[in-house]
Amino acid sequence: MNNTMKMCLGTFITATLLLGACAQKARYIETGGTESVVSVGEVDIQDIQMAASGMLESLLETGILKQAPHQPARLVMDRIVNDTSSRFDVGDLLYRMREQLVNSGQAEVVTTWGANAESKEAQGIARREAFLSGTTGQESAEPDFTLTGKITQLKRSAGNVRQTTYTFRLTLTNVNTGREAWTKTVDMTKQGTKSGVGF
Amino acid sequence: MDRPRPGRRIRSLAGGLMLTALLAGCGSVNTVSTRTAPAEDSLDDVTVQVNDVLSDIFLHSTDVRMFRTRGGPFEAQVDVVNDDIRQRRFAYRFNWLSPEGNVVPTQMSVWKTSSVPSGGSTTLRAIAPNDTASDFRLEIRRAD
Repeated sequence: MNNTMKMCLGTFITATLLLGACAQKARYIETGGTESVVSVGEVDIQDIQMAASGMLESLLETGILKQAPHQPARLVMDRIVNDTSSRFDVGDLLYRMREQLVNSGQAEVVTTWGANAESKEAQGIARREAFLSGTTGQESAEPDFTLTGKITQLKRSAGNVRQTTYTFRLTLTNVNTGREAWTKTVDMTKQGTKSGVGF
Repeated sequence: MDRPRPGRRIRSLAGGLMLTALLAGCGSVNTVSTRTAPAEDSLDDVTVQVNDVLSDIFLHSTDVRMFRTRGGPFEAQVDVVNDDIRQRRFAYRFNWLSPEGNVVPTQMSVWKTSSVPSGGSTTLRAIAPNDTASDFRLEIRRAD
């Protein structure tokens, strides 16, 4: 083996070892923390967390839930449309809001209301009870508000740079008046040429 | 090859300096306000503490306020100013504390990002998760 070949082999082994050392092992990070992956063309977990936080802040600062006839206010989750090219469950947004509102006693979610009731079992039991007691059974589940919404995106680019704005919109409708009682828009804009790690 | 004449060199240098000054000025923001007196809900002691944290990322706070919202919970507002010549990006998170000093766990306490251009300012806002939370803790991290 001549000197040139020895040098090439040595360089190759060193490069392999260095690359091996650089490879990042899987590890746990804080969900939505500053080490999270940021994607330009997708909704990330931190976007959902920030949207839920913005919605909740607006909802609490207006005090709209305290004006409901029932206390805690009764909510029905209606349709939330994901009109973006990013695939994610809108429940990721809603359940964060529900956790805050329901567990802190600021609202109750009626899960037995309407044709698309979340809990068909509970709805069936309530109907049976109502039939046996000779009532409509709806009084105890009469909602104060319905929650509807939409998530949209606006994509633009200049050369290699891509920019996407995700807009989260939610509306609370007073079922007694049929009027909009609260609405909020939260925008999230991300720009870059490719996905990256960290804020 | 001819050497450039001194007059020509001076003109090139002046042109270069002007271009640099213009480029530096492109991203900067000039801010003015009609309010000169401090806000009624200012927390002067907290502003000093917040500045200790912000100075690590070359920013400073001009005012920290806390007041009750229409709905009942407290709102915190922190005015942040960037006196640096570069744009500054950072992440921040508010945690709210109960009157007993315990952290109130909430989905509203998440990392958010902000960016302040040179000479510009921004206001970090947060609403308390309930009516009883009466203090906050602010975490700030550099993001650039």
